[in-house]
This record gives sequence, structure tokens and C-alpha cells, in this order.
Amino acid sequence: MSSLKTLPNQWCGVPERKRGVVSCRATTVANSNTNLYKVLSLSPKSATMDDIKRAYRSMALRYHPDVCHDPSKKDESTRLFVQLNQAYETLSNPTLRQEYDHQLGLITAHDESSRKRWKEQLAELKTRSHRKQGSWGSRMRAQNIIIMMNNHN
Amino acid sequence: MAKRYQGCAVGIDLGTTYSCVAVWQEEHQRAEIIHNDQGNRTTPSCVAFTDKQRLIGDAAKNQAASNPTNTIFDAKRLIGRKYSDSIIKNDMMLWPFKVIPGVDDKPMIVVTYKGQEKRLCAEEISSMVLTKMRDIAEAYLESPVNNAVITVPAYFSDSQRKATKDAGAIAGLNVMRIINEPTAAAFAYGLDKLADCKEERNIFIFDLGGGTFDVSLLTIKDKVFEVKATAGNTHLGGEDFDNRMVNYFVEEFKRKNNVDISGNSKALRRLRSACERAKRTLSFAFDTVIEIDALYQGIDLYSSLSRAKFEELNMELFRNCMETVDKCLIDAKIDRSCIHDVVLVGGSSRIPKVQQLLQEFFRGKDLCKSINPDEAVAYGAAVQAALLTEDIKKAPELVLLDVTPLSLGIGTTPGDLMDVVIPRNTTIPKKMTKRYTTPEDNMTSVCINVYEGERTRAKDNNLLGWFKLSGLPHAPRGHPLYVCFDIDADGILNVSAWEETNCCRNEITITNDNERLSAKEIQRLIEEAENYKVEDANFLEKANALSDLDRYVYKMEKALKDKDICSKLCPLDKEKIESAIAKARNLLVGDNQQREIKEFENFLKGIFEPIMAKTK
Repeated sequence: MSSLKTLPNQWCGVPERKRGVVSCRATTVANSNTNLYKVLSLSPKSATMDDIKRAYRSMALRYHPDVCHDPSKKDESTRLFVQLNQAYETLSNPTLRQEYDHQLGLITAHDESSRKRWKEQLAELKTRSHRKQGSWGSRMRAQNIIIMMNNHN
Repeated sequence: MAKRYQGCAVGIDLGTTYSCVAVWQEEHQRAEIIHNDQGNRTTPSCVAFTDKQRLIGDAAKNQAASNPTNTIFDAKRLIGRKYSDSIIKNDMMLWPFKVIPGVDDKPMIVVTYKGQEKRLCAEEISSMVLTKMRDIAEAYLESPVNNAVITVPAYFSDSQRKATKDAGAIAGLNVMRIINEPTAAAFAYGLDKLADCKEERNIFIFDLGGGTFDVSLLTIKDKVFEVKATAGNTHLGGEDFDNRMVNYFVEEFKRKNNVDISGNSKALRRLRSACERAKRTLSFAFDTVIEIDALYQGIDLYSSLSRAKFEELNMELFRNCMETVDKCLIDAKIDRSCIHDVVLVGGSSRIPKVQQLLQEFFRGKDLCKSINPDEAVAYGAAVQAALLTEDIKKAPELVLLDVTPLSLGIGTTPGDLMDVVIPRNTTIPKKMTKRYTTPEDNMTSVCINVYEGERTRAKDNNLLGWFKLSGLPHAPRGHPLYVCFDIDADGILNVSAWEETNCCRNEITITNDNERLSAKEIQRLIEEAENYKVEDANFLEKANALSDLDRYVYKMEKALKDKDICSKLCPLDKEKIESAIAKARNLLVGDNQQREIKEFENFLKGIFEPIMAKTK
């Protein structure tokens, strides 16, 4: 059991603080149990951008924790506002909204948007591989050759 | 349920160079800027210590030239920073007062007060300014003021904000909230100028003050103020323009007279005041003259400065401002042509070149100068204070959706990279959960380091706090963990972490305790502040007693000189009065207790009045 080396007693004190940090492969966790359209009391099909903004503003005026003066309800209003904000952020962004609609099963013709995204990813990969062609040294040498050729001319 | 905030609530703009206080007036439905005892609507953020007393505000600034090493200004540039911070190192060269490193690398200001050396932290100096602002408000409102909303630059870090909150606590104020200066200014503008705004409007706030620079982009509609993005520089403002001018004249003086004044704090202070005046003049005139008699070793400084030269000296700083403006617009993803109003805030926004560059940036758009740039921030803070006070029934019906100015995240391996959980310019309150994995096999515990900042490498950012999640089950690397950032409307961040099966869980509320003053220390400083207050009051009483005695002696002398009265006096009484006057004169010159003075005045009255009665 060589891997037991990382027992808790090694993990006390400040100096090793830097070692135990978590790995960077992170994904955002979406809380998908509430319907974002319902949060804003909107109809998923017909809501326009203006409707979304209007609904968000009128509800922010009601549910923002600053508006609520009863300390016992502060937590509840913070929770509601966080949810409201989440809904607004997603629905006011056309791409995110489309994705969300797809998740809800509102859009069946998924090939359009997902294909577009796949193409984008492909394009990004292509540009990245272009950028990193060869080592720094080989790029420098290539540049030097060009400079030399220019000087010749 | 007890009321959370009782008594009057004010809004305080705690500036680098000047501070301002305002209060919401229910009956007039507007905020009122409160003038100080000198009749000024802004008060210098300046504290001075002499061998007799402590001075705050105008009184402190007025005597700065004669007492440069004990006149403290720019505390806002020190607050919440480390002594080893390169910004502080540079500033120290220009400050006439002494700053030394204290416990935990905290900068401490050294002053001589009543002949004794005292060490003060920036929070204490700021708290003294806040006490002054509170006194100003109390005198005007004729009631105690316990609650305040204090503004800070939008780009202030977490530790700077918390230190400002501590300063409020030391001043005996309940700080309801720390809000951003440009947001407060937007409140003032929106409430005053856009009362019946039906259309959605994008407002750009350009706040160039004495020491800090902030820009914010807001969308206003239907009484909802939504901050879209904010950016800034916590060390760029009028003071920096003054510094460049001072350096220029020091060089010129050296070239012309072959003497270096840079080591003489008195000469520098006088030069700085003259430069500040010249800078203000150049906002409306095209050139100005700087005249200081006997600046150093009897040599006069007599020079002129044109607006063009001033602009040349500071062009780099002005360009810096415009870069920040650009950054803010990019962050907000709003094109510059979509901005409806560009609002100028802060004294330095009066500089013509700054206005010109800004106007060019916005393609010739007219800049909005209709609000007072010195007072708008305090006005907005007073509005926010009213909104947070439940007593006020007729507070304006508004809501402010503010954002986090800096990204918040955790450090991740490998490479100690910063992984952002809440990106900058996210509307608060906000809750965000992210999934992470363990980097090694069979880890029993991991550390979560919480950072604030924009740098890629975690340790280049500002560490807010850390905690350990232990008791993880044995598992190969890649075991999932969840980290949740929860930030509330007051900007207080709570970070929690748990393992997937929920067998272990830990959390931390970011309070920044190791850098901040402890509760005990704050208590001690509050007591010290009380002492200062008592000493100030004693000094005032004593000064009053002395002046009363002086007046009485004068009255006695006048009576003796009066021929009418003199002729009626017997020589014995006359002698008695004369000796009493001589004694009183001695007392006036020497350093005496206030009680003695009061007693002596009564003693004088005991001699003088019966004799006078005889002459009638």
C-alpha cells in the first residue's frame, strides 16, 4: 500500500497548502430541476427578448434581497433572486437559450445547432494546430532564412 | 423582530483626497449634501497631529505646510495593502510622513502627537475622517447617526473593502453596505436626470477622482439599475497628476538653481499645494503661473505652466484611462455606439484633455456634465442607505443589481492555475457549483485555495482564504468533488466543498481574518478613538476657557484705563486689580489645566465685581 503515503497527518500546516489543490478538469454543474421559463413566468414558445428582459426587471424589483426588509425572509429572497438571475442569464443569451430549449426537448431539429458547434470546434482545433507547428527553434530558423533571403534580394 | 437599522442613515463618500456626506430627505424626496463647519460641501481626507491637539479635515489641511511630517493624507492608498506592495514603495517616496512595516507586513504611519511617537494604521486614519463626517452629519441632522453606506472604488479588492468596513466600525458606525463609487454616481444620475425613463438606457460612468479611477457601464430601465461591467485602476487620479507636476518643477528648480529640494518635506508640501492649484486653474485657463516665495534656502520659485505642457506631462496616464474605458466596453459586450449617456464623475474629470479624449473615444458624443462630479457619489450612497433602511417609507423604489469586479476562483494542479468559478462582472447574489477531480490516487484530503483576480497563475492573484476537505474515501485519481461559491448581496463570499457521495463536507466564509484587524483590536481602537475624542473635547474646552479669561482680563484693563471709573477707585483697589491682571497674564502664557483657568476666572470675578459695584 505505497499509495497510503498521503495520510492526513501530512496535510496539516500551511506550507503544503499548495500541494493539495484539486485537479483542473472542471465542469460547471447546472441545476436543471427548475424550469427557467417558469421562474420568469414566461411561455417557452412565444417569449421574445423584450419579454424576458421585462419579466426579469419586474421580478428583480420584487425579489432582490435589498428590497426585502424582513431579515427572516432574506435567505429566501436571495435564493429566489439567484434562481431568477440564472434564468435571465441563460435565456437572454441566444446560444444558451437554444441549448436549453434543446435540453427541454422544445427543439427537435437539433442537428442545426449541434452541427454548427461541432464545426466551430473543428475550426478552433485547426487554427490551434496551425499555430503550434514545429518548435520555437524551428520557427526561428525558418524566420531567419526568410530574413536572409530578403537581405540577398 | 428588532429593527436592524435604527436612527439616521447617511451615505459617505470616503475619498482619497476629499470626503463628502449626504442624507436622504424623505419629505423632499431627494438626497441632501451636508456642509461641514466651514461651510464646505466636501471635507479634505486629512488628519494632523500637533503637540497640543488632533485636527481633521479643513483644519488639518490648512496647517499642512507648517507641519508636513504629522499631517496624514492618502490613507485610502494604504488601506488594505501590504507594506511590501510596490505601489506603496513608490508612494512613500513622495509622502512627507513616515510609514514603517508593522505586524504581518501591515503599513503603519508614524506621527508625533503631544510629544509622543504614535503608530497608526490606515484604518485608524480613515476612521478619524469617518468620525469627522459623522460629526458633520450629526450637527446638521441634530440626531445621532449610527448607520452609513460607505463607497469604495469599484476596483477595490476584497481586503481593501473589508479594511474600509473596519474603519467604519472603529468610527462607531454600523456599515450597512460597502458600495461601488461609480454605481453610487449612477444612482445620483439616474434618479436626478432620468426620472421618467421609459426606454432602456446604457449609461457609462467615468469616475476619475483624487486617487482612483473607475468606469462602469449600467443599463437603466423601469427603476432597475443593472451594472453590466466595471473596470478601473485603484492607483490613478488627481494625486498622480500632481506628482508628475511636482517632479517636473523639482527638476526645473535643480536645473536653474542647482539645489535639490526633493529631501525637504516642507518645500515639497508647499510645491504640491501650488501644483494642485495650478492644475485646477489649467482646467479653464490656458496657462498659469506658479509663484512660491523662498521655497528653499531663500530662493523663490517663479515659473509658468501651459495647459499643453500639463497635458504632455500626464499624457501617459490619460491614455491609461482610455485603455480601461475600452476594456470595460469589451467586458460588457456593448458597442460604444450603443452608449446613450457618458457621465463624468470625480474632480479630475474636469481636465479638458481627459474630456476631449473621452469624447473622441465615443465618436464626438456630448458628455453629460449635469451632475456635480464632487458630490454625485455621496448622493448615490445616501440613496442606497435610504433603500436599506426599513424606517424610511418613502424611499425611492429602485433596485441595484451590482456585479463582482474581480473573478473568483480556486487554484488547481498541475501548474497552480487559477480556475474561475465566478467570472468578473457577474451579477450578485450568485451561487455557482463546479465539479472538480482529485489529482492523485487515494487522496484522503485536498486543500481548496480561494483566490480573487485575473491572472492565470493562481499565486499571482489575491488569496482570500483556504480550507481542507478531509475524509475522502480511497479512490483512484479523478474522484469527483464539488465546489460551490455562494456570494450574497453584501458581497460576502461563502465557499463550500463536498465529495460526491456526501461523505465529507467543509466550507469557509471569506472574512480575510489574518490580514484584517481582529475583533479585539477593533475594540481597542474604538476605545482609543474615544480617547482621542475626549482629548479633542478637553482641548476645545480649555481653549474656550482661555479665551474667556483673556476676554475678562481685557475688560478689567479697559475699566482701569477708563478715566471715569479710575477716578472713583481707591488706590488700594486699583493695586489689587493690577496684581490680579498680572497673575492672569502669566496664566494665559503658561500651559495650565483647564480647571485652574476656570477657577482663576471666578477668582478674578470675585475681586473685580465688588470693586466695580462701588464705583457705580
